[in-house]
Amino acid sequence: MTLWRVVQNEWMKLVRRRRLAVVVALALCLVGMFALGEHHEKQIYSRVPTQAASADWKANAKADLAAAEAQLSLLERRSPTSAGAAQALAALQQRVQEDRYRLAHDVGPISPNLLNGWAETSQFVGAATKTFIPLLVVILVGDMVAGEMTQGTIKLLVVRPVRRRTLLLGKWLVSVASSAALSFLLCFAFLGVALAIDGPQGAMQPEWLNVHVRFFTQPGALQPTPVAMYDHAAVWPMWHAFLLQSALVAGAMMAVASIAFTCSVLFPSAMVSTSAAMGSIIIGFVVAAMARGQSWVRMLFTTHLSLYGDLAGGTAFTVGSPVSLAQGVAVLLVWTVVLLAAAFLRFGRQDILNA
Amino acid sequence: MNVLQLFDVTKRIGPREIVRQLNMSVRAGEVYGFLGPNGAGKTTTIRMIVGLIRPTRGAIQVCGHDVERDPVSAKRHLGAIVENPEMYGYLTGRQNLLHYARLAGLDRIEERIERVAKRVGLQDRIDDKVKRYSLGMRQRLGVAQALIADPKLLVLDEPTNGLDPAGIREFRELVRALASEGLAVFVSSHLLSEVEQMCDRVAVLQQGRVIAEASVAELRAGAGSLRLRVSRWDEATAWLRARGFEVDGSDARLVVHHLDDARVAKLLRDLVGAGFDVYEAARTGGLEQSFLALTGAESGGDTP
Repeated sequence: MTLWRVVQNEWMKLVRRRRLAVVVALALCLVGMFALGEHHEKQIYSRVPTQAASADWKANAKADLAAAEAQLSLLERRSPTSAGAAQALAALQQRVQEDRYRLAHDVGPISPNLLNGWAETSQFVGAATKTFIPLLVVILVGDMVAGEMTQGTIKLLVVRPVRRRTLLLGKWLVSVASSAALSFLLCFAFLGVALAIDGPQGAMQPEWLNVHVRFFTQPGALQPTPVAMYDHAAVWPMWHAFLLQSALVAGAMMAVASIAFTCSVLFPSAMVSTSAAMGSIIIGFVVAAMARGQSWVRMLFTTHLSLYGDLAGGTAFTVGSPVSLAQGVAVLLVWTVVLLAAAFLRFGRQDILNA
Repeated sequence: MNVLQLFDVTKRIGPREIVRQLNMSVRAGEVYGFLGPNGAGKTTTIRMIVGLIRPTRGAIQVCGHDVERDPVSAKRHLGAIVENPEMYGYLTGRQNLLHYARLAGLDRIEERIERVAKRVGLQDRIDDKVKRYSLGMRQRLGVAQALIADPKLLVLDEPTNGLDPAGIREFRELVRALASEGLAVFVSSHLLSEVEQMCDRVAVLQQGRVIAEASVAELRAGAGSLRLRVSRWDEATAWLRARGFEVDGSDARLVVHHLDDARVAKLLRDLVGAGFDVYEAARTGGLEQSFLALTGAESGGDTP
């Protein structure tokens, strides 16, 4: 099949370009920085006095559960109307869910002088997916087409008995596949480093997903107060949540790769296309930060680069309005499809004059 | 059979017509020269033939397949070098050829690579990275990639740019050899001598129009000048003018313009028959004269 042969070619070129070496070197720097940070934090934690792991955590959890459930039954009749009431309700719900999870899965809390490598990684990946990882993706694929235009190699590519759209589709497939693979591997490199430094404990610790954030307008306050609500929340073991997070990072980076790819079709110079892709991401972040609280910020692709944050509630806090995973996926999909359509239209008709 | 055919091809970019109503056809086994000064529209035409840009009007067929409507079938029979054959410097010669062979959907790729590498004399360096190749070697690899799919039509845009004289001769011999094997070759050039030595037929392009198309033999024979030294030159000038020849002559040396072989023979016979003594007669120009006459001397200034 022609498409498969195009993909083979593009893969061969991608892995032999110097850009890949640059990306790998930058990624290793990033992993190194994370390792350094973890090492530092571990030393701080190790100063916390050791406590004998309390064998009676189960009894405590049972007692706490009973108390929280009793309080909750008093509150739950009406939906909270103020931020304070909502926070009280959410805290109780979270307590109940945590106690139930710990008792059902026989998972005690980890000692306070130990770091949870899983949680550390999850937090770092959440930040990196909005900063470093998109930049690595842009460096990797930001000149997929523009590079060939700049080098002039596009000419000998287009004269082959292959349709232009097949060439472009092959290039796009390799772009998104390599970006997904890069971000997935990076997530696991971070995890490996964290577990090596902090120890493997924490895999079964609870993690809340499907957290809805409600915003309460308070009299006199400039901005509405966000409160994470746990009505429909699911509690997952951390290792499980981390797998999902890695997959979501890979997915979001496929969208970033598609945006960078479109830039590489629209701008015929490798440098301009890479800069345009980086610029659009940075501008996206800046605009989102400046317009915090405006509902249209949810339509920007940069808002949803941490899809896991959409699911775990973090994104809503930074954006200042409620978001859901479905919304995030839809926004990224729409951007991807619209931009790719532009790329295919442009490349299919374009006169290649100057390459 | 016409391997390449252009029907009324026009390309307009913005308000400017780069090429106008080109009609050309190239037969199998023929080397067709596309001659014109820089900026005449040669590269634009070549880019239309290989599908890099699309004509505004008209149609181009390769082996009967329309390049625009059925690009895959048309390009299956096409090998090309468009300007400099830029290759992937970070890949080896073999990987470059593998890359192009895959896109042509070929089988027994390894065997083909060996064969074309040998044909262009690159077999010893085929596993080196292309960025370590000399310009001449890159040019050879360019020919190799154009031949990898056994095309019926070879399109070459200014192929000898940057080659040294030995390289140019070698290239010319390769092109002649390919044509004798039945390949149709379409080669553009702004160098008259190159076209004269390499081609069977030639079209002369000026400001986007084909202003002449002829076999090289015809062009060589036609439209030259004759330099004469004769007795009684003033009488001879008048005698020639009276018979419709175009003569420049303000001293003993006359120059008679626009002569082909037949007219030269007749002129000399008649001149001697009329009792003039001819001391010296020399043909000048030939193809070059034709070219200059066709394109205007100023635009053909870079002929060697």
